[in-house]
Amino acid sequence: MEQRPEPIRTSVDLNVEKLLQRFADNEHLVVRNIHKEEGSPLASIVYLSVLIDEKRLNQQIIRKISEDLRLQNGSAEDTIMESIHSLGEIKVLPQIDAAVSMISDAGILIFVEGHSKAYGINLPGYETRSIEEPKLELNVRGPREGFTEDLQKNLGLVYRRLKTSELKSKAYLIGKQSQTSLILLYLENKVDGAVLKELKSRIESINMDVVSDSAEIEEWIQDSTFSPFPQILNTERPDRVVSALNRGKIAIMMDGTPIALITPTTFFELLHPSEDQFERFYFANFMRAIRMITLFISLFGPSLYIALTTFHLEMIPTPLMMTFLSTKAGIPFPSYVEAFLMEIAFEVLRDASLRLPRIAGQSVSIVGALIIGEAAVQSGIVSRPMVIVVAMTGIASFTIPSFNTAIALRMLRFPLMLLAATSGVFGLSMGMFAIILHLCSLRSCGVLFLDPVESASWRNSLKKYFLLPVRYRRISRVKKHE
Amino acid sequence: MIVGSICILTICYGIAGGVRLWKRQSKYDAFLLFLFCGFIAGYFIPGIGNAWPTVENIYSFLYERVAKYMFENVLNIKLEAFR
Amino acid sequence: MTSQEKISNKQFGSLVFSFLSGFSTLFLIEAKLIKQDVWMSYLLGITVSIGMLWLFVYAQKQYPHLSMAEIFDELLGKWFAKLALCLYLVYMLETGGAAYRALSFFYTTAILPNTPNIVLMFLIFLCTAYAVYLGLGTLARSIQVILPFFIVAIVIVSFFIVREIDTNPFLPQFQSRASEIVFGGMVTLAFPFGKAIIFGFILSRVKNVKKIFSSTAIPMALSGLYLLAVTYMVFGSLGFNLSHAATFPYFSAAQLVRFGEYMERIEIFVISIWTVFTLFEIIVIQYIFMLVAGHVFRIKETRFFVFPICLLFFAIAHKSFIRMMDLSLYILGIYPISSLLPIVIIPVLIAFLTLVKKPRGAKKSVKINPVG
Repeated sequence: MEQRPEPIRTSVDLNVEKLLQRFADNEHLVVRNIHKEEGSPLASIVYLSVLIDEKRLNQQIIRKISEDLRLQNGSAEDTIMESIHSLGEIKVLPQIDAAVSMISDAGILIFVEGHSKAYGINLPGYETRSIEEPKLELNVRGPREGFTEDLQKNLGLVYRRLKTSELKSKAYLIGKQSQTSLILLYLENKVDGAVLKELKSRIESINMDVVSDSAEIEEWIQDSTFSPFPQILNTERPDRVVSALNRGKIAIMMDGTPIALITPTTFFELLHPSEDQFERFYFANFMRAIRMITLFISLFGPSLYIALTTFHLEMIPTPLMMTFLSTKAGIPFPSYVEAFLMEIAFEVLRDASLRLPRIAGQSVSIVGALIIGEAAVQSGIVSRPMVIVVAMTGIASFTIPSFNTAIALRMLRFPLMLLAATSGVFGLSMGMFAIILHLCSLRSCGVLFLDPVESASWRNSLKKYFLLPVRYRRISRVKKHE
Repeated sequence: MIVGSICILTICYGIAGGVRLWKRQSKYDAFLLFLFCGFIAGYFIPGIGNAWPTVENIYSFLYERVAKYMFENVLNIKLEAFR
Repeated sequence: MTSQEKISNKQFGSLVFSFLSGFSTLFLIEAKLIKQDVWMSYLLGITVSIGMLWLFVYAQKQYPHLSMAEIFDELLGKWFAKLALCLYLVYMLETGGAAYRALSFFYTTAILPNTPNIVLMFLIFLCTAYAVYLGLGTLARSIQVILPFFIVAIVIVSFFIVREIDTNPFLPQFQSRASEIVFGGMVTLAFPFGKAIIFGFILSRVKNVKKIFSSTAIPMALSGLYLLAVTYMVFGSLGFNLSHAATFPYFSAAQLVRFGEYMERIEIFVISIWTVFTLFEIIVIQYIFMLVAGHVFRIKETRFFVFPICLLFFAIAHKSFIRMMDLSLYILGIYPISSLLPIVIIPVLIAFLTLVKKPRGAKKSVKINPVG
């Protein structure tokens, strides 16, 4: 049901009454009246005491207004208006609804007798975390600042690094109840207009009551809902946002979360940490090559081992095969059962060490890894090579900086193991092909997800995948695929 | 077992897809899909499946004499296929 | 599914190459028959199939805004066009079924002797159905991902096989009768190269119609070269008798590969990449089948038919060529004749009709250079 917007009246009392109705049963709504003499108030200040900085309100705003009133030389209302305008950034609100959202958004509201408008000033007084080193994306080299839950602070971190008027922003209020502010940031001269338009329309289509984290926004605006792969990069590092903006990407920042979203993202960007750009390029490229190998291991490690030991023993060099066979002797399970057992044990340990408090978590992972692994081998339930393979796979998946991508790879490992157990290398190649097809079909805001590989020339792809020295690094921009 | 489950799967898909298409007002497509799935399911029904037409059967029947004549009399090649 | 996504000429070329090169090296039937003179058969087969595809390209260039199925309608009239397209549908079923069987036979004979055929075929079905569902654009992009790996793998294997070759196996030349070479040419035309004719149906989906002939003919020629190189390596490393006795000669030759004293039998890795490569043939056939069937039966929502169409291929493959021998006899005996109609006769007819019925508004003397 569409409601007609309610205008603000000229009478302060009426307006305050309206607000009191709206905020009925709210213990924290404070109304402070400013009188010149006895009788109806000249002006009223309304706010939620839990949200705003009351000390500042008292010391700056109320004191200023009272002093001005004492020294007044025109009408009382005009004096109040003058003092309000001297306070800094004020918002003129013509309707009750806007006034209500102003109060909810850590603002104070001033009604002045005889004025059919309300004046709002943001005066946030709640506590936020101070800027700390990012918790998830650790770097050896590079800036140490990370985003916090406060949008203003986060925006400051980005604006400080990009001192150009090309940096544009567009603000949205998302969530019918939560009214969370969300900001799109992009560089006008770099961004692809089609992508921006697409993203804007997707954000406008968001229909939720309460938004509590950018993860929900990510889910809503991504291209393929049912893909195991994340299609939007999330980061808590301002430097990463800045370098992404410089490549023509769009950053989405939301109040109340330290995670910014970057879109359009390609698969290979999810595999590289931001640190690559600050390392010497030989080392950075070496690590990029290594990460391709770990990607392969974390996806195919156990399934390849199952396929080889179950179906293609002749492929393994003879001495190695003898070692495998001797360790397998006396183990009651076939390879795939062993692998399933160990993989599930590994996932359980990983999850347990995440959920427990830091200190206990560490001991769980050590106890799990050492004792369970060793005990399983000693008692002859699993073979030693299997423990090595599973551990190697797990560690390989941790080298992938994007947590969601690593999870996707770990999940895909299970169907691949099943395929390898039923039809060996054949099943594996089917699985591999299906994954490649899936990745090729994905898009991120219309941009191809496997971008560098699929771009027109292979030379170009290599250039995009590997880093050149900073001096020769040309910025490659993302383009929407028609 | 695989054959049986594929057969049931095909019929289920035919019915489900047909109903969905019917609801979208494309009745011709729905009918065609249903017919098509029924035909395919025939291949997997034990007994009937072997009598269902395959390209191999039809073309072997149609072209065997032509091929034999072509290869043996025109090109003078003896093939094991025609022994 | 993005049904009308256009693909670039390079992607189209890669698709043609992978389509032809997957299965061509599997049996080497014609090479077993004609031995060292097989290159002439290859040349014959490739020339004719490039020529036939050129005829389709010619027709497509006259009607750049129509798909090939619509061109059939335009030239042959509604019912004759339906008949001709149905012949293509049957041809695709024939080829697709044979490809399904060939791949599963290869695995059950050479690598996974204990796995039932139907399990492998069912996996092929699942994978290809998913690919067809995703559409042509995705397919074209995924070939770009896989092709470099395939080339690298083949080059490595070839390098190690070439070390085994001592003398030129193609000498002495001209030991076969002309009729044998013609027969080999027919087999080559039917089995690896003529299949490319079905690409005629997606010519309208390529971005640059002007360069379309070169982006078709060059990969076909390259695929022929690849086949010839493989034949050379197989004969060189195994000799004629062993090649004739082996069911999968190239696979047997690849088994000779070893790195030093330690790494042996690395062919499985190559085969796993090759398997993915061969799937492209099945996928492309099923995809084009879907397009043509959609046109013939006037299906509006082809998306719903992806699964049943792929299932039809699976069913046909499941019921035909029960034994390996059936397949090779069919490919030698019936296939070269049965495929003449869609590969040669209909394209000639279409080109002739295009020439006679010049489309309205087309320039009078559209001369197209057959070389490119």
